Amino acid sequence: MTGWTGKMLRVDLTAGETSVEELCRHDLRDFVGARGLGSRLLYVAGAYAVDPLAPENPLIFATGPLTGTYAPSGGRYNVLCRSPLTGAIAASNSGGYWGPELKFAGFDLIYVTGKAASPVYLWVNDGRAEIRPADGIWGKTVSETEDAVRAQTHPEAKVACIGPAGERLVRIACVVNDKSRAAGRSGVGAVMGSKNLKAIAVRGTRPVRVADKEGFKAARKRAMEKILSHPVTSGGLPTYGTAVLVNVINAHGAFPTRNFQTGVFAEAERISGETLAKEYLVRKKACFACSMACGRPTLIPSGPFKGSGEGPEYEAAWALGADCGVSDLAAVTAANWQCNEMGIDPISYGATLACAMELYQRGYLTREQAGREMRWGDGQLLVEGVRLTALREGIGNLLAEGSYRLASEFGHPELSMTAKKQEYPAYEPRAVQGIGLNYATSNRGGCHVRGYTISSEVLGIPEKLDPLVPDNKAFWVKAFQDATALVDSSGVCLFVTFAIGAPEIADLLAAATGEAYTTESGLLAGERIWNLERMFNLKAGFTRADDTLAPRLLSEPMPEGPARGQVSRLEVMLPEYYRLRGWDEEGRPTEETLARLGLKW
Amino acid sequence: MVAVPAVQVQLFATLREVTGTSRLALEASSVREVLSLLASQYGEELRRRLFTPAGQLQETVAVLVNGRNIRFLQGPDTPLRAGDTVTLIPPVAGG
Repeated sequence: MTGWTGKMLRVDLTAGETSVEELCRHDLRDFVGARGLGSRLLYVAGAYAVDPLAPENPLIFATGPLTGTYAPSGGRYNVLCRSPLTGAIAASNSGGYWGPELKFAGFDLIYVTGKAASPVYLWVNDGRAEIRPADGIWGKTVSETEDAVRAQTHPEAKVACIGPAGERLVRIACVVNDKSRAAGRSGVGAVMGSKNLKAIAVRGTRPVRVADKEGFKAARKRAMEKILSHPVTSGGLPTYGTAVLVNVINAHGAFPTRNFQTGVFAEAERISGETLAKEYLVRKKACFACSMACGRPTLIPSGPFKGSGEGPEYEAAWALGADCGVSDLAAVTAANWQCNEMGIDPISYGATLACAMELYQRGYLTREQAGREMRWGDGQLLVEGVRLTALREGIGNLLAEGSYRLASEFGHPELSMTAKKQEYPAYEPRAVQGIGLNYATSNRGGCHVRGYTISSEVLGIPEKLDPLVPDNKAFWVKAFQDATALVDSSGVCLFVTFAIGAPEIADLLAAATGEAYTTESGLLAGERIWNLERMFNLKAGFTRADDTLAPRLLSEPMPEGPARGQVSRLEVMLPEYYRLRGWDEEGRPTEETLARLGLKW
Repeated sequence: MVAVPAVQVQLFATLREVTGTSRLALEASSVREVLSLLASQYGEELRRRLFTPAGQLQETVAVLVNGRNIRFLQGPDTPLRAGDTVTLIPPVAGG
């Protein structure tokens, strides 16, 4: 095959066996790859009915047909399973170099089931696979693990692994590859830990073949011309990285602060991308085949948080900063490094700590229960808390469960800022109406990168929408969600979509795979994938009642700033969204919709 | 004689590099006046970033008045009152 390798590595950790299987071309074409193909396999396996931390939960590492092809920013892969945080489908996307290497090793995906009797790692080397003991590696941090695994395999091996958080089944643990790129959300690291699987090292030497070399070259050239001439992908992102949004979102009054109690953080400037660039930025860093290089290696030369690492990105700067009321950029940066090392999602960690701080503020969580004070703005607590959470020590054992379980433990689940038990990212739904609808309907719970309407509602790409009005947002949310499902499944980075869209992605897919992808069929595949994920969640027991937001966002008017007086108008947008999706009033795809998409229950 | 309102101007990202400042005070009664004052004060480099060759505000530059994009107010003709904050945002993105 071209684009795809057509091969899947199946790993049964209980039996200690590996085997190679052919993938069904029909599935590849209809579900594209990565997120879409992985979702298809999870659905077929009935993963919606398994305990997420049981050996039966499949853990899938899946690339797309453009991964490793030199398509623009074609370095992505997804980690999929049933999420231990949400109970919904999990598909976490990561960049770096691991995904392309898996393709070079001859596989589109790795499908892991079972549980090893003792800790192991997997070594995939040019078409062969071996399960090896990880006795001396279990317990190590992410960078220590990567170095140790590479020393035992090959100097050029790429490594994806869990840190101490995944080992202890922390529900907000991630899988980290290339030391600082993470499949961050939905607790996929805990599922890896539940299987006693510490790492997967891959090495490959076979280039990814494409069906139409000249056509691919031409499609790539057309896409690159747009990426290299668009002011965002050629200027804004490379120059400042994602954290440049701190000041921008704060200026719109949409920067959630102190657990979404307001949308304005008075000290935003201190944790902004501009300040990061001035104080701690070392250089820019790119993933495989990427011209944007939004990665941000950082160094703190002196003081209590002296050290080096990568980030924070915008989301981490917000969660570890404004959401916890922390304006000390050194503490935010050091906490982000700790999240990378311990293997914790900084969005959910920061948001869970923020929830604990509000519980403490309101007297629902006492100093005795927490074992310490939990005050807003405490940078020391922010940094130490990462380790406590990863090791499940003290208050960390509660933080490790995520904010919904934490807030419920103390009788106030309404203070958990989550959708489907997953923490919201860095945009306030009262100030940006469409993003609230996206959070409420996202198939993996609170998430911005399932339907990034901020692009239109704040940044004006591809067209400017008024963030404060709910009108027509259902249409845009659906459009963003479907297009994103296509992009995530193809294997390129979502950030290319600031400059290119479905037509360019479809051209690249067609030239790489030889299948007749068009703009229309590509977007239809995105819609098919979205509906399949929805079907998974419905079978997992989710209902219309789960397509909602925290009560605060629906009923407490924003207290200040440009969105003062606003609440989320979800009740207006959601019925329209269901109608546009071809779902009934309970949010279930109708038979006509399923038939149109070629899906069956 | 009516006093011209004193307003605050906030600049982000590359616009800070061009002007060498993140915030300044101006007297202006509309957004259009703010933009032309800035263009005259900081020269061709800033003018090029803010305006098309035909003198229109660049599509990719966002201008906010007290956090609201002027596209949803009265565009460059949006009037200003004393104490208003005008924010200029060059093309940036993240996620």
